Amino acid sequence: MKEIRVCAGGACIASGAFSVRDALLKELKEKGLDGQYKIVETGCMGMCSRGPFMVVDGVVYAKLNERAVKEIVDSHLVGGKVVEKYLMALPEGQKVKEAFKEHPFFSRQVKIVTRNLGKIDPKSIDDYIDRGGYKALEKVLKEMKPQDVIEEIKNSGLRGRGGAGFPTGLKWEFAAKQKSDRKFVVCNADEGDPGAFMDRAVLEGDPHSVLEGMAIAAYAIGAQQGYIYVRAEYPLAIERLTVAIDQARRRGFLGKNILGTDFSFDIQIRIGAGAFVCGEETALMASIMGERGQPRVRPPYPVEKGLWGYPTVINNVETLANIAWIINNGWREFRKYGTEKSPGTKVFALAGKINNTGLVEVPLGITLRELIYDIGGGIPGGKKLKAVQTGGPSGGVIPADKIDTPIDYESLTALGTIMGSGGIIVLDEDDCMVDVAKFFLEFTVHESCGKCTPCREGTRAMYEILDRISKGEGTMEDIDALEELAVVVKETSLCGLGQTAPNPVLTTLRYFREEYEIHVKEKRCPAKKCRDLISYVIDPKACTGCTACKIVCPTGAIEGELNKLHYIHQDLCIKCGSCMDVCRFDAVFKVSPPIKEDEKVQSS
Amino acid sequence: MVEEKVRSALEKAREKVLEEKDYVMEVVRYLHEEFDGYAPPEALELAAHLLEVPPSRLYEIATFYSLYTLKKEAKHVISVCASLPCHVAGGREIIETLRKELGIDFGQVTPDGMFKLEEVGCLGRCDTSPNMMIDGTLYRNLTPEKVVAILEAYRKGVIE
Ligand SMILES: Cc1cc2nc3c(=O)[nH]c(=O)nc-3n(C[C@H](O)[C@H](O)[C@H](O)COP(=O)(O)O)c2cc1C
Ligand code: FES
Repeated sequence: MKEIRVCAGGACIASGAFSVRDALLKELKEKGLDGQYKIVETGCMGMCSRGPFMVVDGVVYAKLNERAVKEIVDSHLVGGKVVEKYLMALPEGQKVKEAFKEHPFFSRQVKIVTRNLGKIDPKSIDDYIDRGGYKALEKVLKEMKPQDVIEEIKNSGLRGRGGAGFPTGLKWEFAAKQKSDRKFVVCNADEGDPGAFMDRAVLEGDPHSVLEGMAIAAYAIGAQQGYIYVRAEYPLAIERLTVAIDQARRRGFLGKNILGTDFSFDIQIRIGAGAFVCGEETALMASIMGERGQPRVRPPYPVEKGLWGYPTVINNVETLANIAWIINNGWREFRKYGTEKSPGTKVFALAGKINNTGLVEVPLGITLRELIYDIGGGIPGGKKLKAVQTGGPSGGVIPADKIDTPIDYESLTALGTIMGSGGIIVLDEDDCMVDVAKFFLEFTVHESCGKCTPCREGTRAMYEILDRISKGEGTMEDIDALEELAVVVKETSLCGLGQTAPNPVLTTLRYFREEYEIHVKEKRCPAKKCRDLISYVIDPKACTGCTACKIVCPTGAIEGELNKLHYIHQDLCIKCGSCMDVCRFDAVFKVSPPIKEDEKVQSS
Repeated sequence: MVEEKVRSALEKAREKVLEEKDYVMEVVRYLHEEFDGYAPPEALELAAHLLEVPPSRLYEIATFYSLYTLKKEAKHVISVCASLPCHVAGGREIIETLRKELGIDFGQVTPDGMFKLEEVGCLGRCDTSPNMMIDGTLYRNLTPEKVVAILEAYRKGVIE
């Protein structure tokens, strides 16, 4: 029986993957083909902006709906003719059949963590086993001593993918050395960095790879119990994990005497409750132990004193999804990818002003240019790249002229940002750096747990300064004060949240100080984003007097009769931008600095 | 009524606990399930009594986490993503539209008790920004027009 793979990742489901599947079932039945084809619902195929996807005989069809399915069944399955219309197009516009091999978005990727995504049905343990799943666990239990496992992982050079990049083998070794009759393994699936969603994709698309990684970790350190801490906002991931754990138990990959050995290990799910700080490992443990999710001072580290005082290894989802692959293929194979200090691959989430949003797994050491242009397809609308934000609220921005830097832990740190969990937010000329910094500070102020003063008060004070600058009320002294505060908060906060929160401010100041100064000195926002520093005006040459803007304006700020030039009263305008959105003649534009009522501007 | 729900929450939590203390977190979570989105003080106190722990242990949790709450403030809770990827993809206009349509700001409830508006951090769906969730249902690739239509559907009871 041949397989037809339909992407059932979160984004594709939301854009109609299930009606595509149902239509396919129906069509296959009607054509009497249901005996020949089997439909496999897979995890995320990666290019979420073009879903729903379907793969038949290696041919990738995108942007499907029910009608498309009918055409494809009629033409491709019955008639043997590929339906050009629904194929993916290369950046140059040419359509390709086998997009996974031919389209640079897919062909440049190296799939280790995402090896099964888009290939297997995440609800089926048999699919996972068919592709070599749980072989690594078997090998480890039957052929390797715990110390061998640790050596293998140490040699691979795998570093934690949850943000800090700590060597995973070393972490396991510390935990293994602790003398204790109880130990824990925790999977950190609290993914909260804005812009990151790779952990969700792995949990939804290949949950068993994480379970297998956890079981191997548990064997290596001598743990009996595991927890997966998932955020409540990921209901589909929770559902798939629940199913997977249940299947693994029934097949003897979890529970007592795994695969007939005397190794026993079981896993439970714990669900977060909406606190970003719970992604920090000590806060996460507090939350599992039924306390407020507040971090504590380290040392002692979790590997010494973790859950209920017992040695605990905490690893990120993506870190764990690497483990079985390394055991199966060996550390030398792993080291073929990436750089000396950052071996292997990393899954990046491309978001923001980029043509191909979605998840990509690439070798570490790739440059941002390759990632954004070759794989990501560049910036939409012919706009200019301005900067790239990595590492979420703990990271910083990298200016466009530095995009030839290789992406690895050290290079990013040298630029003042961090790898973080792999969110890549692309910013173009319309984005304001003061606004970006303000944005992240607002996030930190909101998420600071309140325990230590530098983070609680310092981030608030920084936010207030940024707010003033964005309103044109800042002074040059404010900029200096902002910089000083940022350094203090960075150096004196208790946990990683506060220690990294100033990074967006520090990097925007480092690379875009001029933009701050223009906000202060000229009361102008060059990107025309900061609301208090812009005005909306109508271009007399372009306005046709269609009245569309006048109709949508919520405050009645626009005056004008049909077929006559319209005019925006600045004293009534609340700068919501509705007029600009609705104008079909590009006659509404923004100016900065703002103008006063009755003031005239030159059309741009 | 209250007692029944509390006992049921305790029961469900008991099936999952490993350690005495991680019990508490699960109890608060199941109370929210039982009471459909909140955990009233009388339920917390009763649960604490039955568990023989000080009520403060449960209050501590029910008040720290942003998904937990002591009272049901509105029929529907709108959580709009306020993180950067959504922001640069037009999220600001979405928030604007919500504020304008509902006539309230973050943390407030509409006078008819229909909606509460909350801003949340990244929902991990930045591939379809801008996003919002209403009572746990995700709405993606939003435009101001879509937001208006969605609110209308809730108001009319088309979506429960
Ligand atoms: C504020 C804050 C939030 C964090 N959020 C996460 C997260 O969502 N997921 C994650 O895996 N690690 C997160 N971390 C990092 C964890 O503390 C920890 O380093 C990581 O889970 C270790 O796993 P790894 O070695 O496999 O990376 C966060 C750290 C801080 C300071
Ligand atoms: S930023 Fe809104 S979902 Fe990620």
